[in-house]
Amino acid sequence: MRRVLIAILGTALGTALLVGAKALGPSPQPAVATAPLDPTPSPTHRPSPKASHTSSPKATTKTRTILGGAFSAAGFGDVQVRVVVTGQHLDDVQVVQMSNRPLNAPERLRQQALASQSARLTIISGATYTSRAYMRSLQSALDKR
Amino acid sequence: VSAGASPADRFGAPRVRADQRALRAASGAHVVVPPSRTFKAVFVANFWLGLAVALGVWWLNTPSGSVQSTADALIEVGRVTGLVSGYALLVQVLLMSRLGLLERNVSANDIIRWHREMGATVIITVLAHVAFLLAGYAAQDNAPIVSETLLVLRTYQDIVSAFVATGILAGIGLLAVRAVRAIVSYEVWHFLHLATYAVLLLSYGHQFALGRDLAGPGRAFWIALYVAVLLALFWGRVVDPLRLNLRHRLRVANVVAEGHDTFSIYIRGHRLDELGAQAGQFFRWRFLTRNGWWQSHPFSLSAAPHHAWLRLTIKAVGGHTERLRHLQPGARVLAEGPSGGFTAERQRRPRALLIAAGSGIAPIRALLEELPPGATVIYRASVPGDLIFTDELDWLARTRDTRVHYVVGSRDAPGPQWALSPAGLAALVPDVARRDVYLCGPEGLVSAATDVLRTLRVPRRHIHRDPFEF
Repeated sequence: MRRVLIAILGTALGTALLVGAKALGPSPQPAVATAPLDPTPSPTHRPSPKASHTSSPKATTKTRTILGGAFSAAGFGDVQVRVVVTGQHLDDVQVVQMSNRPLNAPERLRQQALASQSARLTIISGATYTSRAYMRSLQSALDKR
Repeated sequence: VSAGASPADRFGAPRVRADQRALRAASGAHVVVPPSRTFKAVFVANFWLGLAVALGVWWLNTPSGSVQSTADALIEVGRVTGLVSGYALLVQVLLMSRLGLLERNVSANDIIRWHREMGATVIITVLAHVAFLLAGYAAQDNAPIVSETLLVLRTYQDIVSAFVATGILAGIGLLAVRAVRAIVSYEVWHFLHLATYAVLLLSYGHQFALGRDLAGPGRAFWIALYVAVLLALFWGRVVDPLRLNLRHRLRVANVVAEGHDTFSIYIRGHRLDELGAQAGQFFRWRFLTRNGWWQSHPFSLSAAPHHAWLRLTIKAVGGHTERLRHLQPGARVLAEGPSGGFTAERQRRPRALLIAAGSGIAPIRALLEELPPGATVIYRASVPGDLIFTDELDWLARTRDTRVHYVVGSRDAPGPQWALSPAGLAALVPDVARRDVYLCGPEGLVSAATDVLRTLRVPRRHIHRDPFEF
């Protein structure tokens, strides 16, 4: 029984130390900085061929729908979004593919994107890979405005 | 009490029997490796290494200084406890895989102790994992924890089954509490333990679908871990038992009464000399009768393995053991084993002292045949009617120079108190410090005797204990 207690207390102490250690040190740049948004995706994260303009880029005030590239969310499948823009203004973000949707991630990321009018979003803890892929796809769509 | 001078007489086997060890050595069928301290050390080192890798992946995935808010801290604690519980669950299944390598190189005592510690760790860390993550997500969303939980259940992949798995684990954890364990029948306890496999099945989905540290580079490590554990499980639970039972085709030969509530089962089979078992080891026995086929129980051999038969001795304590008394000759038996390192090969000194209580006498009785002559036995029982094998012990006293002290009486009676005190033990066995000591009996007696032996300066490495409570 005593050894069981030691095992449990040891786990608790170890966990506290590990997480505590990550609380020290300088605050990292906004989460986007740790996941740089590369407008030209690496070969492994190449946008799917489907990624294309669904309307003419010339019309600057018309409301258009642009499909972003599909990006791998490391083991969670691909993520691909479609944006609705009027001129440069981002009206809406719709998810085309996202097999794993933890933490209400699509809605939370959409809110952030609409508020910031950009692809610079805060990564959702618990949906890190999905958030990153979402930002990349969003960025690739916004780049085609 | 019981009739017949030696087990060989009762079974009708030749009275004069060859020395078991010489016989098996001559057959050359097997080499039994004694429980190895090296193996145990390597196993333990690998356990810590694996844990370090699992947590190392988390460490690298978590940028320094990224834990800024309470929500961050709660979520990271949830992640770490999740990794620990997933790892501990796999180790737990590995410990119970019955892999021969483990069963014979690590004493059953250690396996049971680790199983208990690991089990507690799995349950506590799983509960912490769930609680911390839900609290963390709720804090992040500024939402009440109940609605956050519902959101998680609705939107997360494979999360419902993971919640079911947590419920099962909590149930198993509750059973481990002694007070609860005492009122639950073995059968219920057994089936809930089997549900651990369901936990593995129900929980792996969410681990791989949602676990940040199981994606990317960590994925290969976890897949390797799962594959290794499942292979061990398959080998230990399917391949090995299948091989043993197809080869030896065990059947009940006879059931013989030993005392008022104790009886022996003699087992016959093919090529038993190639079984590779030693006195002091146990098998897990499954008797294929109408209501007993689904459960298997560990029983030690109560006589050194013979080329024509094996014997196990059982005390009727519950429904299952009571029914075993009425086994018919010819009933099929499935066995898993041999297991345990409570063998004569552990011996380091020329002579041994063996202390037995209750049905702990069974492996001690078997060991006497394989230990060198000159051993001393202290046999503890509360009433004379509980003593069994008295005529066999007489036979061993004659043929193998064994000295037997019967210590009979209640725990508080002066005789037993004296016999198991440092002074008493030193008087009964003056050279105790120069002997190996084999202990088998209820936990209370074994640990009390260990303390006395330590007082008498018996080195720890000369004290061999067999777990009596399975």
